[in-house]
Amino acid sequence: MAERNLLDAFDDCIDRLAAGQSIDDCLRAYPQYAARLQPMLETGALVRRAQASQREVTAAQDRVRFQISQAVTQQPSRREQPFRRLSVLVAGLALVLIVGLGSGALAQNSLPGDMLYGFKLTSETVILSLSGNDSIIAERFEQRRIEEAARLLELMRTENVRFAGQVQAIGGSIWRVANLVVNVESETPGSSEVNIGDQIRVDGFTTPQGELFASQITLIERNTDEADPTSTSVPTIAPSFTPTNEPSLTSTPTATPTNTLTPTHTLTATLTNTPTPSPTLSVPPTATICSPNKPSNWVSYQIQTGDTLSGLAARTDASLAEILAVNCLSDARLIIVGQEIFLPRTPTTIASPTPPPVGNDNGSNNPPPSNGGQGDNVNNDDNGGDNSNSNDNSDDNSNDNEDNSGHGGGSDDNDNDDD
Amino acid sequence: MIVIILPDIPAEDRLLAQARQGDQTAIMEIYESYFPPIYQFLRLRVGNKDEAEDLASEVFLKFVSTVRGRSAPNVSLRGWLFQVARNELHAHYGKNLRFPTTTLEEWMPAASETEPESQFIHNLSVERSRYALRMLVPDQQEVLILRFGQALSLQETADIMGKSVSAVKSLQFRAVDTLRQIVGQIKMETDHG
Repeated sequence: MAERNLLDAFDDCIDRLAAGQSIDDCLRAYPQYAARLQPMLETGALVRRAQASQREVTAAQDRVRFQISQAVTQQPSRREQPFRRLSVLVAGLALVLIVGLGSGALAQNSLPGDMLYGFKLTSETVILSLSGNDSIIAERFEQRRIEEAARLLELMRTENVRFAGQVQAIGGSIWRVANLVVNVESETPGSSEVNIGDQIRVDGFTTPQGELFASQITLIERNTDEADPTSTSVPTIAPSFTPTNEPSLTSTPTATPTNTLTPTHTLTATLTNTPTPSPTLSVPPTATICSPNKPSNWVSYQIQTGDTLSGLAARTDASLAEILAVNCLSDARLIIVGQEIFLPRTPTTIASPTPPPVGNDNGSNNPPPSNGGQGDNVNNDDNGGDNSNSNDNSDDNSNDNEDNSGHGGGSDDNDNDDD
Repeated sequence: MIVIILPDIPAEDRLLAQARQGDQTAIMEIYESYFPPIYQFLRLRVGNKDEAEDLASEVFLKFVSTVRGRSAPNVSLRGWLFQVARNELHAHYGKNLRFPTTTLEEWMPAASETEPESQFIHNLSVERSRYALRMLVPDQQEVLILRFGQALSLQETADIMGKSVSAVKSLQFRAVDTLRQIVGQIKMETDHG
């Protein structure tokens, strides 16, 4: 249905504009609708024009700031209420005694942020101390933290989480810990000294997008099985491949342990399976580890300003899901300029590769030096570069209301800020 | 040099998590980052600077008083702030707030000479853009301010406005279409006036 597609194209164009592309970029993406989209997008751009000047906003913000900071300092801090914590402990003890040690109380299914979650933790502490800090019980409680985090992710709730587990994979800022995908940025405290295989504690939080971000990493135990700090892509499954004929290695379905299959046979079979990815994109059979691997016919590409993964997908005739999977990305928004990713082919260029024209001096505060992306010097396109357009675009580039100083042009219009 | 292209959601969530713990610096940081968009949103919906400023301050006072409680934002921080801003607006002015009540001549004196449409759009002054925008029904104004003005995603906009994604998709299309007709009308008026 044409009308539906037009709505979608228009919607996509709004996103493109938001991501820094120009109206022309968008029209090129939807040549069949260009005639209808152009006036609409130009009209939409009026909204930015109508906005208050930076000066007006800053003045208002300065006036309101004091009021807000006053309110903030008047808020009681939670740490100043020791009795509250004590009362939770007492109530927790009472609950444990009443309900019985850990029998199916409501609280046992609660999650961080739930009302009964405090009871759950308290009852665990009590049980653990009563057991004389039994390591099996402790481990079971640790496992609960992981399950809770997984459940929060499923529910897309925002809560703080804390759990411990083994680092199974590290792919840039995307880690896998205890089978959970964790976003760990390079500046996250404690993250730099961790290698694959280490036992760590993760302090972090879940987001409404169903993602998990680490705010702190604590090394609990270093992986001593194999000293292999250089390779990040080799997972830690290796130590578990003992030559004994173990039935648990189910990755080779043919190897039934009862048969007189020589142990060496299974060993080689699994070894070839794991470290080298097969060129077909099938998921590795045993582990759920993700590390980006370039399929043989794909190319490397460096993210540029204005790129979006969905845009790149469109420009390389690939599906977004495919690109996410190959690059072990959990979220299409998590790309940064300069990041290297794999694509099925070099994307078709959308902006003309010529550097921004001389008159365009808006970019004084734009750090990325390479291919400013918005230089819309249309000169080689089949798309009818009419004269009025090239004028218009210099205007469109000025996202900043206060940027008038940079314009030589006479039609400055952003600065009158009151009625 | 690393530049995050799209809204930095992780940082936002981290800040919010800290604010919920009562971290005062985090709360003030949220104020510094989000006052401008909230103010801009309100500014285009109300008549003058002072009203916009008052409402924006209400929004952040509300945030400060609720951030540590149970009704704290459980969704995206930005979305929550815009939602509160919208509620404040509706509470103060009723849901059908619509500007302006004046005619274009009273609203702004300048007239322009005859010019091609695209040129005309680009030369529309701030005042005339606001005037045109305020001729739309509130829902249409809001969807345009959020999507074009504040670059919120379709999903965020839908969440803030309490509508489905597909409803917002048609709404934004109709809104721009209507705005275009209004602009055309204003152009005619100024051409012949």
